[in-house]
Amino acid sequence: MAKIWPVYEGKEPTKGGPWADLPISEAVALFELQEDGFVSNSRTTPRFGAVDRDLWYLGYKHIVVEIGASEARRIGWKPGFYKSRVKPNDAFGRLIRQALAAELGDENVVRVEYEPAIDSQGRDALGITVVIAPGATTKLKPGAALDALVRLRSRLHEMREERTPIVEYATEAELAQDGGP
Amino acid sequence: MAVLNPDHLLDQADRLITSPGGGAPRQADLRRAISSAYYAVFHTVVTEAADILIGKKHRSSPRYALAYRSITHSSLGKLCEDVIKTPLPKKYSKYLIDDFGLDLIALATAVVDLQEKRHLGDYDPLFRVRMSDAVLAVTTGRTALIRFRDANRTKRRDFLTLLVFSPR
Repeated sequence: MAKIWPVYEGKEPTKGGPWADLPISEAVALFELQEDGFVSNSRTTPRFGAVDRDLWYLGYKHIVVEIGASEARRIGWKPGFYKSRVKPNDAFGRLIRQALAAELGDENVVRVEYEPAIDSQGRDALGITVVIAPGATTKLKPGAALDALVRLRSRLHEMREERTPIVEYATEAELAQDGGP
Repeated sequence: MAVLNPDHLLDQADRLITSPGGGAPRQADLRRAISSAYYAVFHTVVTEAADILIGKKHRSSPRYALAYRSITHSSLGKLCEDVIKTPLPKKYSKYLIDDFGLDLIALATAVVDLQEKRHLGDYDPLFRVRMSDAVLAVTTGRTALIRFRDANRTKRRDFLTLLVFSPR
């Protein structure tokens, strides 16, 4: 599995664990990794920007994917850390989509949008709109909608996202009818 | 007491999301469909809790009704929010053999999701239910019942005990 790390600039690039562990082929595709994105070997923590300063307060600036020796062999790359061209905000959305699509079926998920929301108790929440393909509700595997919710929560927990997800489903036609997500 | 049949609530939800005239279902029907899906799950859990606590053969007794009514949406919601936390709050650890298991985590996830949707549907005038969302809410409710019924019996009893007697 490849580890997906959100990374700060400065001397302390990470806090906590990776956002996700993904099969190597999926990590390469999802984060548009290229062999020339190699940053450092597995023993050398990659650092960016002013490496003598604490810059974590500026938020995540990069996505770095850690590829172990066996996974690297499988694709003929060097083991180590690779920088993705995908930015952390975009990566966050892609990981949410990947978790949902794993259960709903990639062909049934057109795109996923997310935005801050408030739940019925007045707490911060994460409003997630899953735009599904026309007719997708009849094509899902039995239990897929609930399995997708369970997997999404697990992914958000891995990503240290504590807001409760409020998931809504819509087709493009339904969104157009009510003027947007 | 003839307890509510949760499968009938899901059947009702199915009818509500099927427009008889072929056009789009009314917002009122979609909102009620989501509500029915939630209540199917709620009544399933509450019925089993009361069956365990008072006994299935006493369903017509006031004691049974008392136990049934003692379980609130809030108490179920709070327990379910805790069940899906990782790690599980320590207050539950001495009452469980290990954890709640995947089936009850699925049930708890559905309760939290449907409860929120029901709240929006019942009280938020700006909430617009889309057909896809209503269909998948009903599907989620139906799956939650299957997962609850499939759950390990001991874990299910532990869950229901903690629902009735909330640890401090």
